[in-house]
Amino acid sequence: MSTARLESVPRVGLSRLPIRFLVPAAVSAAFAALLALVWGDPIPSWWNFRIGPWIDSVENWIILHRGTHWLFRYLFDPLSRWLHNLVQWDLNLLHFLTWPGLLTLVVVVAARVSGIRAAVTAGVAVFVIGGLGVWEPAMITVALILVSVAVAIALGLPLGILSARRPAFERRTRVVLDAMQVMPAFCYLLPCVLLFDIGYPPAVVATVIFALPAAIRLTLHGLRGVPDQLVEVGTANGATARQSLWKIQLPVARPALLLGVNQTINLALGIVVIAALVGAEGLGQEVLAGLQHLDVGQAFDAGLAIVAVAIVLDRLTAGRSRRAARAFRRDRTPRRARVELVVGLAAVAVAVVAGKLWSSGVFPTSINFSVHDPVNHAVDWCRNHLRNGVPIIGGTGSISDFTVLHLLDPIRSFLTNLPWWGVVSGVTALAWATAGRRVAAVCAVALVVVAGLHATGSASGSIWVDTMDTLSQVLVAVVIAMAIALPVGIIAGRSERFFAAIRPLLDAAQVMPAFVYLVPVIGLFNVGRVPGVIASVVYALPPGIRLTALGIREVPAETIEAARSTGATNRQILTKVQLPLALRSIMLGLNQTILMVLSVVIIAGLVGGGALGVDVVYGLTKSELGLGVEAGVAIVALAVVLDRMTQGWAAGIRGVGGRAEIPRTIRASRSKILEMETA
Amino acid sequence: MNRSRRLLGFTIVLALAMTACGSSSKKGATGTTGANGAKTFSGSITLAVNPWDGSGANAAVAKVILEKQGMTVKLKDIDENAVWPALDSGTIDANLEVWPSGHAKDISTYITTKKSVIDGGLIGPTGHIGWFIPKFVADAHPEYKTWEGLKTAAAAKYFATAETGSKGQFLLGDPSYVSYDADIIKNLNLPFKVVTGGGEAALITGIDTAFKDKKPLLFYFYTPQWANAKYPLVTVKLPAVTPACTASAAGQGKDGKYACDYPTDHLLKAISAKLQSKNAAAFGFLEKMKWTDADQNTVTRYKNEDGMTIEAAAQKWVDANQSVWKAWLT
Repeated sequence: MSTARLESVPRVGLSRLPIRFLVPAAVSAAFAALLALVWGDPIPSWWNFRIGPWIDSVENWIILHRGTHWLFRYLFDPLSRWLHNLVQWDLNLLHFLTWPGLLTLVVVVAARVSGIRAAVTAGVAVFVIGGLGVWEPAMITVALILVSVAVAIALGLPLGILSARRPAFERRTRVVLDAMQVMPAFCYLLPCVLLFDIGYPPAVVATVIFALPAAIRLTLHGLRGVPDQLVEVGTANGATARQSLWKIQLPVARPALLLGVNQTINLALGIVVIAALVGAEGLGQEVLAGLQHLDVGQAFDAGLAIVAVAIVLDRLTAGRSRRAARAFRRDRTPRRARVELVVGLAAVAVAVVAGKLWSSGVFPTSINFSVHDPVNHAVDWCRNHLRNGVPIIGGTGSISDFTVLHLLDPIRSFLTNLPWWGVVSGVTALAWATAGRRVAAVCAVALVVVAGLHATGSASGSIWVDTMDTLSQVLVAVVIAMAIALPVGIIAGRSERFFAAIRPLLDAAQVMPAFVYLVPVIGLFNVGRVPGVIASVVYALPPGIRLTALGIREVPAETIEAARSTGATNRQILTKVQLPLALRSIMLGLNQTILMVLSVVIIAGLVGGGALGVDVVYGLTKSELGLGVEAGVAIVALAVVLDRMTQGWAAGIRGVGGRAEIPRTIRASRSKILEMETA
Repeated sequence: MNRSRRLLGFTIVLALAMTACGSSSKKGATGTTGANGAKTFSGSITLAVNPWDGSGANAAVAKVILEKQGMTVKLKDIDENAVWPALDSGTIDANLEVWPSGHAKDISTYITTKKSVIDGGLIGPTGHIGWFIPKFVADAHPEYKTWEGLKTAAAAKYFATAETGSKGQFLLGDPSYVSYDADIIKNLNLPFKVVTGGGEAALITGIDTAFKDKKPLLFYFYTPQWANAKYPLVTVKLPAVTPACTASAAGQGKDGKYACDYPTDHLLKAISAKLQSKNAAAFGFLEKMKWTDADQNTVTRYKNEDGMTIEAAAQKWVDANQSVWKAWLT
């Protein structure tokens, strides 16, 4: 087995080892000494970006001038009215269709786009939305999502094309797109209210900000995937740049573009709940109303409806798998296509008329799939039986205390007790030794920026300390998430059946809003940092499991056969062949897990996580925008450090994860995963 | 060809979404005072509903009465902070229950400086913020019913949790609610540490768990709040409000000197200045609307204990209290 091992495990030559660690260590030590000598500890007050005060003064100006200044009268107000009308008309259209009409339309379109099985699933999902008793709010959510996605695509497609054609433009906007994806939506939701008033418009704008980077990057990714030869053939045949784009590049990139649409919808669904905070109503309002009275059942019904909406929209845009698409094309004649179109339209028309006649299109209340009572009973049962008195482990209450005392507290005090220059240089040295000089430089800059944030009113009085506190929680959550994701992912990678069984669960966990399971989590674990950690783990598990499983599955069958023929046991195959080869993919899973955990820092703050999460919530709700934005910047900086470092690790590993490489789309990688799973 | 059809399918959906755009007709809202002095109510207004029962009760009662007079009243569920820009622009016409303690900055910005929002006077009910303990704790340890009793090391140990270590835990809920607790603890030398629950749901779940487990808990809470009816709670007596504390509170406690009980919140109505010219009758009604703690509690009790919808509960109250609200219409 030793040869297999030598080939697969990345190794650093012994002679290079000292250089690899000594140089960064020496440089970082010098850097630390410089920071310590010049700036000292604590962070000097003159090292201050004054982002907070500046934002506050902008906010004040906006408040005093909104409604009167030309910027509002001729730009933001008309834009806001236009967005409102767009959503309202969409909503009117959905109402006009009535529920039987919409059900038929969804089934017809899904059958045409993604096949019969997808159509059945989508139809059932539409029916379930009605049966959950949330038809009206669901229509508002659907209208909001459709408009937001349409706007995001309308902006993302040209920007993606521009990025593909002008690499300089792509390089310069990279940081902005990263920030848009990692900055918690909470940070810009309330500022959106100042610019676009309440209701649908700020919700649409916030959703577009959040989903636009994915639309741009997947367009770029798709265009970059077009083989050069194809473009060259076109040019050789005299195609102009425009012809080449419209006739060659875009058609070839179409699968990736559709995936971009699909992914944009998925991201847009993530903002449904907080959009309700600014009066956008819809399913998010139902979740919040349930939360207000600790009625988990009500929130869960609405959460299930959000999952159902996600399924419907997914089936409408997913398309067929490659093989099914080929078969579909083969059997299709123009005549048959025409007949299908006419029959489909007729069916929708009949359904609309039937819907109007039958109780004027209102979903019958007699059909009821609500899981309200069972969910509430289950939550009560868990709290009564799992909190205390479980043999050996003692129950979730004691697990909670153990996590605080033996994991969170030591790591937090380690990080907060280190002088700030120690943290900066330590992280830089680590990044240098493991991921290279460039990554180290980025990490150093990001952390020095955090040191320059001094907004008043933060949870512990210092943004730096809050950042270290948040970092400690993120680290613990990531360790727990990976400890679960690795074994589950390995089993899923080795057993097709198991993977098929957990896939719907993974999908649901990613779409179900975290707000739904916050109350049970706080009920089981004591208020404080632990519920936040647990909520982050639940949210971050799917990508970790997926990428681990994919890495294992991608190991070529011949390699495994070869190992088996040399007499390797199952266990040896796993530890000596599959795991080493899947390491790169697992590393990317780690990267995604970290970013997912960071994206729920705010949610964690809402259940006792404190630190940066609470800073953002406090700053924005108390109209101390400066504090909220500075805390948001700190979260982005943490994300940049952890993302670049783990991507650097993954890049340094040889393995089969090559195809799992993330096209620089933080969080958008789900599409890539989907692409690989369906391929 | 399939791919192009697939794209077409989606484009149709998108096109339906996009091309459906047009202009909406805004209903002209009017309301005039007739020649004989009797007001005529017409047009439509929008009232804010903040995420607590009292706010919903006020708005529902106003809706029932005004719709009886022939108006259309829309209710908008919205966060209590996002409501201010909406009052400023006139998208929302009034918020009938503002807790002034938590909105000093909004009041000074929108009401005093910009004058785009009008102080519509008091709605009647009063809010009380304070420190609370479960009744079973107060029964077992009557000494913890006053702040002096919390000074001891025994108290710290009794209320301690993993998060607070050797100190006692003081649980706070939504960080945007006005809170002087860290200063009160510091200035009164209490061996306690504030843990920010982060949201109202977190705080109430914490209370619920304390009652389930019969564990001690000291926390920030207030009345009126639906949970008061479900969980028997006892107020902890804090030092009476002094002029120094009133001065500190005027500056949002930023001087860090607050060391008293919370002042009573006289809940007020905030009305968009635009409503005055847009619909004078509705404006006059909202300005005059004033009821009591008991009235509001009656409506929320119909909802929470009798399982009525908030509108049905409001209707029941309106039917039974003609004499109270007739005066608001003149």
